Amino acid sequence: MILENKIAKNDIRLNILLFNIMGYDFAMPLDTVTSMQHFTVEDQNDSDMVWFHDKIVLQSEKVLYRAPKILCLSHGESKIRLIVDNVPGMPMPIDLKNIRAFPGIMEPYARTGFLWGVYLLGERMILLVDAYQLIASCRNAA
Amino acid sequence: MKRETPSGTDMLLEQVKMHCASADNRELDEEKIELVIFTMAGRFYALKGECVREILVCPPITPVPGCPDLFRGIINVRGVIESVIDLHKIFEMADKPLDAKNRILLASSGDIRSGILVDGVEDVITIEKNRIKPVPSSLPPAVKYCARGGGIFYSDEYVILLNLKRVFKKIVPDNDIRGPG
Repeated sequence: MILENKIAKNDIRLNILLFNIMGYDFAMPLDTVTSMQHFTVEDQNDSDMVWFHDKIVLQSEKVLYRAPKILCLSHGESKIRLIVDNVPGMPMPIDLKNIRAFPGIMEPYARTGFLWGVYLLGERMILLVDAYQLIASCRNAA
Repeated sequence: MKRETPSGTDMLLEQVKMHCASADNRELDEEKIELVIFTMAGRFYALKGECVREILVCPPITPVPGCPDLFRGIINVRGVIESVIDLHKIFEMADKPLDAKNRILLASSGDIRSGILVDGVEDVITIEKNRIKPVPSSLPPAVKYCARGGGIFYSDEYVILLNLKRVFKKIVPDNDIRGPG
């Protein structure tokens, strides 16, 4: 939906926020991020907090966060606080022409895993997170 | 005019017809097929050449979380994202670290397309179709499911010819895959 809306509005730019967990590069559209906060020890006991790796199944057995940050995400009435890792801080404007869909054979699995596309950044492939679906799934689980 | 016995011409014509028929059969028997020969865990396998678009030196593979482990990940092929299937997982073989010999076969059958990670590509050969024999029952079940035939047609080695549709069906079992395979 994000891409379709952008294309319909002839808006070929998208602002994304990059982050990295266990070597995986991810990004999500900035328009869902209302704020970013440092993660503190007190936050560990906050049951409303959602750990990114709990939603996206990473192949690593043990997931280690090195510089965790809290992203406050909202879409409509729904709000979640998502813990991610290694956020460079500054959002990055990207061109839609460098975004690719997942190959057809893989797309159903990727979409179920809250990923909707791939952004080509030089040699790197950034996995684009479907923040809207992620927020909705957290709301449904609550 | 009624003839009681075949004339010499009739017999000659009969022989000519028989010769033509056997020549037709010979041509059928000699119908050729191109095969891409590759290795997996020291054994030789093949895919039909018509199913393999390209053979790639293994580029960096980006894993995609949430996908079954039959997928190794995705690769960027000149700006096009291709999935990579791990044939070790399909064949239920032990994992093997990537090395310089690994190759990715960009393969397609019907509207399904994917890269297939193999241990190494040996050769592309053309053989007569009639050299492909039914698969032996002794193959491991996961390999046997994906095999369409086999035979000794490369360097005195037994080569298992794979059915690409069956390989893809391991991932998209409900899909009715049309086209070569």
